[in-house]
Amino acid sequence: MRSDTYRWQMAWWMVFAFVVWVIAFRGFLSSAFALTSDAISYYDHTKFFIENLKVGVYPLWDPFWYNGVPNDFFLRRIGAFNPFYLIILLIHSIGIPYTLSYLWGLALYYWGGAIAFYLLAMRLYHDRLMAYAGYLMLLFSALGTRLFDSYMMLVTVPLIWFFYFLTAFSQKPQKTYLLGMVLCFIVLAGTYIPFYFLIILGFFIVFFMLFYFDQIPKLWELYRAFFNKNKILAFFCLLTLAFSFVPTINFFMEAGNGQIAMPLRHGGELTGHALTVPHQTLDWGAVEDLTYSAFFSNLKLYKFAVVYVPFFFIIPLLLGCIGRISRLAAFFFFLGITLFCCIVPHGLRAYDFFYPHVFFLKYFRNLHFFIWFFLIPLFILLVLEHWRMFTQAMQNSLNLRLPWAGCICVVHAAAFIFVWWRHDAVVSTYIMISLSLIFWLLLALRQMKPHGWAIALLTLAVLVQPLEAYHYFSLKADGYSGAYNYDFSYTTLKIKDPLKDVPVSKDMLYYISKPYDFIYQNISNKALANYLQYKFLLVDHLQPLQEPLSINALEHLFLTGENKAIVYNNTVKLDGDDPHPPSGAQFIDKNTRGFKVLSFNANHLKISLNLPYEKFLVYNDSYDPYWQVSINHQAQPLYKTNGAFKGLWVPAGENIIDFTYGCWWQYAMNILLSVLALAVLVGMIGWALC
Amino acid sequence: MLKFILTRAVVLYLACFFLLWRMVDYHQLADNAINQTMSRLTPPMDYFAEFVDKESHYNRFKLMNCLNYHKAVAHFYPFQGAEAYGMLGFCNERLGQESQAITSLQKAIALNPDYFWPYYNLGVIFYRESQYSQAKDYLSQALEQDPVKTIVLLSRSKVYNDVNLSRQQGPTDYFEGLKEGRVEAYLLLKSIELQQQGNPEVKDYLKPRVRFF
Repeated sequence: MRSDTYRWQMAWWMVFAFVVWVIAFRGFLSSAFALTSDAISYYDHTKFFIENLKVGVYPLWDPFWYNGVPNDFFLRRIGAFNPFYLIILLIHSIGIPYTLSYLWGLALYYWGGAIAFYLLAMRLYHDRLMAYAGYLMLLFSALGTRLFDSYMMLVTVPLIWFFYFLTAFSQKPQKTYLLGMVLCFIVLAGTYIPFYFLIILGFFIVFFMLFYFDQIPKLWELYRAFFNKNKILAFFCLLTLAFSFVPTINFFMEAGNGQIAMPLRHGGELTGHALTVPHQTLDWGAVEDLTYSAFFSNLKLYKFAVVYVPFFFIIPLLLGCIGRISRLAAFFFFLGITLFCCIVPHGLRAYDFFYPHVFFLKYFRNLHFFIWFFLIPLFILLVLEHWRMFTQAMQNSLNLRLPWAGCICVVHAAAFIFVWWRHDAVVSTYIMISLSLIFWLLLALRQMKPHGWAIALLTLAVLVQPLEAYHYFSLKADGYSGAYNYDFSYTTLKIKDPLKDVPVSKDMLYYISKPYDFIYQNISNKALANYLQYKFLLVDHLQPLQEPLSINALEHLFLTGENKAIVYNNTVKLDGDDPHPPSGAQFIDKNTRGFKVLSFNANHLKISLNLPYEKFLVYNDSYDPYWQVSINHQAQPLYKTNGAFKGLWVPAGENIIDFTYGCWWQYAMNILLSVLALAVLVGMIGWALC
Repeated sequence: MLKFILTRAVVLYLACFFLLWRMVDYHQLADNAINQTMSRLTPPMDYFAEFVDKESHYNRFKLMNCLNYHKAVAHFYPFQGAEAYGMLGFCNERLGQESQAITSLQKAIALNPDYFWPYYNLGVIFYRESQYSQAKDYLSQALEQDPVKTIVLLSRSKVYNDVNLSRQQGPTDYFEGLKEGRVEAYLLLKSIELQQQGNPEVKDYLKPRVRFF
């Protein structure tokens, strides 16, 4: 068969497999089933980001998250420089509801990762059938389910692309590949925990140097020649790489300044950097993830967070075990097993050895994410290498077809006996083993060429089991029962939010502004709910205060609504000029005369306020030093008020008050990197088409 | 030949795993992994408690999850084996796996012969299958059990207390439950005797069920 025809045939099969995947997850992709766990939070913050971008606002502040927090954390978490968000924006802009746009965008993104995996496998094995098998195993692995309960894809996909570009560049240096690497680097370095990627890259480099030391001079020469020839591009890429770390470093520094708190992540500890994680949060690690998954070997019980790769993998893995070990297999195996050993905090000493010496280990937990980010794709690559080792062994002894066929039968029989012995296999597992036996026998006996029917049979053999597993998975999914937390308009400020059910107990929050966390933890929910139902209030008297804050006084103030506010400043003017001030604070609602919200968005609030006398305005949105305020275009001092909020003196008469968040360099940095990422993407595609 | 063997992938992997096995502090690794895994497997308890109260809330997959959890308990915590197998028997029976239910309940008895409920439940299963001699045998043994030992076992069992505390109707009174169970066991025994004396219609009056305890 001509290579072009074969290529197109493969492309169609890949599309077909993706369509099957979409059908398998149709409940989630049509929004009939709900997102769960972390996926909800990512959905919310991505929506907040994209919908703000749509109206031309780069959201550096989130006024809806626990009375306002810097949004930098969420921007880092979703990887805001990722041009993939344009897909969602694009789908949304043609009139598709946001929820569907998000889900479809995510599915396409995941598919992109699977395609990258196929391309990477092609680079390594130069065999379309093998690469396609790898593509199928990855596409139908448990990684796909994590679109709907986690955010693994935001790291896994760029990581696969990065290694594809790295491999391609090392085989044949081209501008496209270099830019591809840079783009992936921007995306991965711009996340709030770039350490996953950096650790994986570090391990990869070390093991590559150990296993391919003889290739290093050749590679060095190749790289040197390319960079000599493309000095400007190389300089641009280097500069971009360095710059891509700036937002993360900035976030890290800001988090250390005490403006934000992450009580849940911080394990409730009161000291130290906000991002540190205590050792006990590492109790759920890679071993635990696998032990837990082992309890779901009956795929009728299959659920989220269960590590799964289509069971077809067992056949090439076992077949390859009898082949001669290759350098690539040893490289993959040792890379994987060493990384795995280093992320086990209990029972092995590697992690505890590195913990005091490697500074960033204190800043991230969820060590089991390495399984999802890297070890699953690496494992599939190892399976493919086993396939290649077995094929090579067969080719080296072409006259021994029958013994090889016997070997295939023995391996399938072993798989069958193992499955039967477990007693909990679903029917499709037996079907898979039968189909796989036919596939491998036909290949070994040269009765089938590696295209056409071979692709169809392979597709069927790989997919039959995951399709049954995902059928059961869908049966257990929770239905979508309405809006997610952030499904509301971001351009409307609720100036009065009536009291809802007030919880008696305190939750440990995930992310919150530090001053607000302090009052949240110490003041009763009833007092907080009573006070915070109003966004604005006016008072005539101030009580200056130095830390520590008197919680009792504040709680009393919140419950009684006295005509005063507590400010952290000793030089501030203490009284307004109203000769007959009321006894209580004046809470502003929609009926308050002289008050109007003129404009509102994530970073900005403009109000008009007409007062008969000078009064102190309290805006119950978290205080942060990056907030600035002006009255009638004149900058005014903004005070930290009532423990955690903003306040300022407003003179009598008609006033336009303008609250603005952030400095020019914060916007410039974020926008520049987004534009850079987009420029790199355009350059990459442009050079690829040339 | 030796070179051939040593260059096989499987040899490298086995050597590596052996080396790893020597390096690992198995107890530390297993203790943490088991405790963490068990704590994450626990959530089906909420459903289980709901199902115990309202059998109309039957959900095959969720019940299978409960089965999975109790299998794990029986495997990892042998000291709670009798209770775990008792629960497994209950889940098996509700899932229509009568033969597995019998095996599980017999295992529960083997692990703790002083426990009323597995005898009772086995008696019920055999009664419904009209295997009266076996039913009679188990029901008699159930009535021979010292109630105090069963109450002590239930009260100290984490397996039962997890479910019991999740029940919306409030925790079950183990003592009352046992009293009812014993009365029912006695009635079943009498029913068997009457049937064996030529009164088959007696069976229609009693429709016993396998109980949660």
